[in-house]
Amino acid sequence: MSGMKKHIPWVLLLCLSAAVFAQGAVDSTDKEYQVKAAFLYNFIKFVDWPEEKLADVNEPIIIGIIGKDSFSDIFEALEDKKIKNKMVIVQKFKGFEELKKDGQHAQAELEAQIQRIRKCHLLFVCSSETNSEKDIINSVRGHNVLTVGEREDFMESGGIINFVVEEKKVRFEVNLDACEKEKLKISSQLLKLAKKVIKQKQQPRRADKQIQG
Amino acid sequence: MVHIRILFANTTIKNKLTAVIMLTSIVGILAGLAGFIFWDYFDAKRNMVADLSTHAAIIADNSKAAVQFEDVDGAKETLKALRATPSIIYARISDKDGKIFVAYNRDPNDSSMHILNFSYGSYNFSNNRLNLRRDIVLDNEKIGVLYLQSDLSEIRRGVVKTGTIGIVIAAAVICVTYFLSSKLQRVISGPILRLAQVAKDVSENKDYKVRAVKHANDEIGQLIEAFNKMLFEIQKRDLELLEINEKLEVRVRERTADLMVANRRLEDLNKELQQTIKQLTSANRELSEFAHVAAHDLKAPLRAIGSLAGIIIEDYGHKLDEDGKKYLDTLVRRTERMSELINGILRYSEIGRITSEKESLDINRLVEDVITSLSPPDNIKVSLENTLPMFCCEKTPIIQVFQNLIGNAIKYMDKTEGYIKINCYEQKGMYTFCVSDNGPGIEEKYFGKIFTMFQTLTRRDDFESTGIGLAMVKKIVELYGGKIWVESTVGLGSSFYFTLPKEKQKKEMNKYAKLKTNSIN
Repeated sequence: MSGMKKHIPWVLLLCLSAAVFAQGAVDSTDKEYQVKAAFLYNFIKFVDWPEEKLADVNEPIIIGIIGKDSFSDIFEALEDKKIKNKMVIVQKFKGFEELKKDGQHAQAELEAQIQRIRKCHLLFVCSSETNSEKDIINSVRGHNVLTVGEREDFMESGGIINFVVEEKKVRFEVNLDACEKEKLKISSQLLKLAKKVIKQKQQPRRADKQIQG
Repeated sequence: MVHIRILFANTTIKNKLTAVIMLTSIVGILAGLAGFIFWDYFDAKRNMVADLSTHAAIIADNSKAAVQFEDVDGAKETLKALRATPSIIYARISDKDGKIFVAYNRDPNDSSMHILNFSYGSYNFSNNRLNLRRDIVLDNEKIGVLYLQSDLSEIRRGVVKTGTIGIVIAAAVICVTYFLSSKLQRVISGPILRLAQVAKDVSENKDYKVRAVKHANDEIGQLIEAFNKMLFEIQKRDLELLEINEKLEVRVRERTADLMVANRRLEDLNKELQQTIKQLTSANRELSEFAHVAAHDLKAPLRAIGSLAGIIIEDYGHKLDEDGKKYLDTLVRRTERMSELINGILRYSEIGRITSEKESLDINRLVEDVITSLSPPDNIKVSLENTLPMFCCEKTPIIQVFQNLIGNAIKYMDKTEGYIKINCYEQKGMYTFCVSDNGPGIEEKYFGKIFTMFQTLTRRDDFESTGIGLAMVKKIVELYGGKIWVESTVGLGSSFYFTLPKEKQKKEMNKYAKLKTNSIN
């Protein structure tokens, strides 16, 4: 019973997001970000990081949120959740734009910030970081970070997963090339659900369909 | 079982064997067939569960993301893969709260939500359907449930197919079994039937020279061997019997001839005997007649001699001297004695010749009268020891018997205190009478002699004795079918026993009683 109680917030959230889907629409920003938050959690389940990234059992899985986010306190309900037998924590980072405005210590802060975001497993780049999007992606490149964005050309910038709102439904695209470069393995099932999968060598059939559709 | 036994009782061993083999194999084959069909059915069911479980595992795994991301289209796409398996007629994914997330119907026109009843277990068979449930688990967390429903008609078709093939094979096997058993049963029944035929021939024709042929060394072979041995024995015995019979016949013939010869000889002897008896009887009669006539005729001259002697004594006595008188007295005594003798002979010869009427005699009174008439001297005590029976007989001979016996006892008594005892007892249908005394007794060597005529043991002059008494007694007793004998110790006394048959007496008594009553009436 105690286990069940732990699950309650998580369940609530999923129910909520399910309800949203059932309605087939994302009416408000709040609801949109509730869905996106759930998606972020679910991505972790379908993505495999290289072993060195998950080496220490006691180390939590870190979801990083960089920039000015619209999640408000949604994640609070999801605190202390375990995925893949690890704690999942959410860390929020100041956006690069904001740090640059800080002036004299800006460079040092930025460096520190980069060190911190490199430790993340999943990094959500808020739309506020449009201009420094590329910098952020480049700065975590090679550190096996699953970058998730919500802008049209996020994937052109080298991001791995991008949220798309289509007909008031939250969907996502996957840049498989970028994913492979970061040595991340995305479950084929997740790929099946993706609206679009970018892969230079060969495009999966499901993605094909989606593109054509 | 009784019916089977009755059914089997009159069939040949051949048919019995075939029937037994067929019954056994049919039961075996049918049991095997049934077992095979059941096994096939359960195996098919088990396989179906295994197949469906595999399907469920794949589908559940493939639909994880779709369920997690609540992508209905994706889930539908996954379920569409079930079209490859037509036996699955319905599938459904529910979320972990049991709400239906997506459903699949094999028949596109059927959009009904099938009822899946899972009170327990991960699968069940109901309404000719197999229902199977599998949790969709992601990261150790149940995110939904997959339900699959499969049609069992395929299994039924399979069972029907297996059953049909099985029945066809079973029928073929039974046919082959019948063919083989009807051929192979001859191995067992053949020798038995041949043996039975031989046995029948033997018993019908009584021909013990026949032998059964032995084919194998099994029990039937042993049976045939034993049978042959038995036939051999019987044949041997038969021959022996014939021989013995012949010998016997010869012997019987011989014996019969011998017997006939002996018989003839016996007959001849018999005839001779009868002849002799006749001669003897007539001689006896003649002798008796002669004795009677002689005695009778002798009586008259003797009486004349006696009378003349009396006259001489009376008329001329005084003229005679003493010696003459003495001689004449002697003459008179001797004449009287001769008269006694002649009377005795007459009485003796009269026994059985003159018959008087039989009457019922009270022997007690009769004996008492005899004793009184004999008037014994005072020193001799004559007593009846017990009550003597009633007796039907001629009176005179019985009186004569007792008179002689008691008279002898009195006459020869040599003791001063003499006694004579008379008693009687019954034994073996006879009355045995006994007259015993304490007189001088008789030496054993004279036991036979005393009963013959003119035999006295004492000198004539001591006792007046004719020597006829006991001979007469013996004649009377034997005439009545009895016996007489004597037991004696010299000096102590003697006992005379005689028997008279009782039965005869009874009959006579009855006859007499009747006569008497008739006369009274």
